[in-house]
Amino acid sequence: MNNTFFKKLKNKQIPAESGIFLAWVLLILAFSILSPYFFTTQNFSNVLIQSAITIVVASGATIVIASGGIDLSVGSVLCLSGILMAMGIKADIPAWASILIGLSAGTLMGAVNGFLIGVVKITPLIATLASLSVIRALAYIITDARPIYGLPMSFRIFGTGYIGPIPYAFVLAIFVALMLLLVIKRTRTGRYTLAIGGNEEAARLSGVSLWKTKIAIYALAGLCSSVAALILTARLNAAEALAGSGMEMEAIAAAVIGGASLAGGVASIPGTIIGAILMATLKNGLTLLSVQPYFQQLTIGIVIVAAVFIDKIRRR
Amino acid sequence: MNETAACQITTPILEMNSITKTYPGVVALDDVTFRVKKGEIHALLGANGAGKSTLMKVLCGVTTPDSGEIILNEEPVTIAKPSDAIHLGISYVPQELSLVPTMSVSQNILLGQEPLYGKLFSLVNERKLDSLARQILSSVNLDLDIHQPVKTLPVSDQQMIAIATALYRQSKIIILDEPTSSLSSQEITKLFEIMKKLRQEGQTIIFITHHLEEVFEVADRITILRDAVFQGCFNSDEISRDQIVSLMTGKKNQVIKPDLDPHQFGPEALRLENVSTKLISKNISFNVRAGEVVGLFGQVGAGRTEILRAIFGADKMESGDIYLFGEKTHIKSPSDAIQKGVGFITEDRKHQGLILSMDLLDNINIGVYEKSMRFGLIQMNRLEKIAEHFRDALKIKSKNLYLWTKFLSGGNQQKIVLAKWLNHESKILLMDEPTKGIDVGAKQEFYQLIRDLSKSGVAIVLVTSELAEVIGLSDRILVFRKGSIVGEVNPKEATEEKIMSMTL
Repeated sequence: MNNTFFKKLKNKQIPAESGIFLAWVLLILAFSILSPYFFTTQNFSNVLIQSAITIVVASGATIVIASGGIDLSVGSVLCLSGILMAMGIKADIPAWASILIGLSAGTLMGAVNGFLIGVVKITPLIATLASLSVIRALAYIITDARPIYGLPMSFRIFGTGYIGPIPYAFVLAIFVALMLLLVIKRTRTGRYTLAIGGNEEAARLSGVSLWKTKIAIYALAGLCSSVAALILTARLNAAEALAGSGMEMEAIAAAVIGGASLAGGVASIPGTIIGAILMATLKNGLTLLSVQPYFQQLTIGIVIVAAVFIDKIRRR
Repeated sequence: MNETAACQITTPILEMNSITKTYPGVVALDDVTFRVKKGEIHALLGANGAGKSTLMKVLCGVTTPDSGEIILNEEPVTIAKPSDAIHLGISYVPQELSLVPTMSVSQNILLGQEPLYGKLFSLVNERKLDSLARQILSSVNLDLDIHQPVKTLPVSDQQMIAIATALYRQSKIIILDEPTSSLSSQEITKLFEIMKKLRQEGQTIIFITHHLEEVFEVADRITILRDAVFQGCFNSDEISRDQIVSLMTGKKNQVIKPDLDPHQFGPEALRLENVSTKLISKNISFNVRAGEVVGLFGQVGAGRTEILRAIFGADKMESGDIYLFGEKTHIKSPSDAIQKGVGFITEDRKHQGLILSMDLLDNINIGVYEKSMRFGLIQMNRLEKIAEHFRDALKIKSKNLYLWTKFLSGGNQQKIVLAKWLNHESKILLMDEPTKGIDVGAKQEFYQLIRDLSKSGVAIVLVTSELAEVIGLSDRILVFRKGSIVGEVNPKEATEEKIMSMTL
């Protein structure tokens, strides 16, 4: 992988991620000057943990976007996976087994999305919009709209444990992201994903099986959502039908800021990671500066538009 | 060859001076000069990759040069985006069509210039739209149902529509980019008549083509580019074909005929029996043996591409049987066909043959990543080795394997498509207009590659609309007309006239 990176550099292709990385560094500088509480280990740990969930979900979203598709159901999948995990633990199923159940459920939900999109050939937007509603409804039905509390430490460690100043959750998030980077760059499915996103017809005529690849992609996204569910549920010590609302927007924003093109064919996992951390840093800094929540949302919206705009110019 | 005199013109309508443009790893234009006189037909010639398309892209605002100036009617102008060019009266008719497939003929023709009811409401005046559209079409002698969506029309009609639209815009300069590539000879004659008529009316036309006979037929002056460098401009009656070719290729005139040493054919590789497809082709039967090149010749729209697509599993057959290597086979999809050893070089490399947003490495290896995989992961160095092998074997001009194929010239792009199928080691190779839009030098290389392939035992079905090509390459020629095979010809015996008349 290193070889490729340096070869690309030699051939004068500056990695796109350097742009947003620079932006992030500038942001850190700005906030450090504006607030005395920003540049502390404790605060950085906060930022990292807050970005962890987004990193995981956004990595899955990045793969989907790379194929030219979109997944609006990631928030709902996260929610239901978390609920299943919590219910398992509450029913005295050992933590590892409950987690496995949740992960399998997430993957399965994703695979169903993939089936609807790849075999039944429904547009991704419509298919995942539908599953967003259906899965969220199931979550409400199963929990009877009541949150599930009180989970054991063996489970909660995923959300609250630390290695020195670095939270477990962040390590897990980076691990997931790197696994997905490996998939995109070094597996057949990953290559096929970019091919489908670049030119689906040419990919088909080159022998790529569209439906198999699409099921794999959306299943992977589902798996990512359920890993994120693990982190969130562990951290909050609760699973409820409200969890993950709006997650899809954060995920897509991180992917787009990171350089993914919504048309497909171009995506960057490192970019997505930086995008997620950048958004978390922004929220964190604004909070420390006592900026009201609605203004925070406004700022984040503007940052997203700016990032995409800069990306468009760079592409010309 | 009176170069200096031809180039120095007193009142050029267009001057492009010292235009330079580079893409990562590729110099597309190197200090190029281009001057066009008002009311002339000016041919722009050069091999693929020479810079013609890039020069026109600069003129039309699709891309901006790194340096240089553009002077229109003796005033310097800036063309930063396509609408700038349109407002300045520069109209571009691309080689690959720019119509909106799902919109109707009349909607396409007047796209952006729809007649409205009133300035305030921008409601389209449908009746006026239709009558204007019919008027425009009649100026190019086209009689079509103007309400049908453009995608249902054959490529040649689409091209004529695009040309008609440019004419309607009454542009100061019309650029025709290889307009004849999808036209029959009658349509080409018609086009030239229209071009000559326009020239008489004072219209300036820039004409890009690979067909040198066309240049001598209509062009007044010629500009030649080679490898991003301006080679000179000449009056068309003061330069010979050989001189043009040597300036374009930098070599002496090449004979466009590959070495045809006959070889033994192997067992039957492909057989069709009474195959009919949905749209055009009916009851097609023929066979191809290993090592044989069977040419399918006919006018555009005769149904040959359809047959290839049916063999490849890209479209469904209505009826009939296909036998691969002697066994009746049902081909379900392209990946099925590929597994069974069939490859397909499509006619439209940009939309079907290549993934432009991916690099050479991926385009050459797609579908055969298995060759470079170990423990389920792709090994980059193996991918690179394979790509390098083909790059050298096919003489693809790109040092950078990681360059997006979007940035390569047409000839190099087509070589990558071929490399992909060679990588697949297909035993049956279907080729649809494989040398379309490729320059003389690259074509020669391709012809040799095709002959070498057949010598190595690959069965080849070659669809082409170029007579010289089909005669030079095929062992047998099947002539198509309106969806059926009307005859089989031995290329060594038949004359060009005879074959041509069979298609009409």
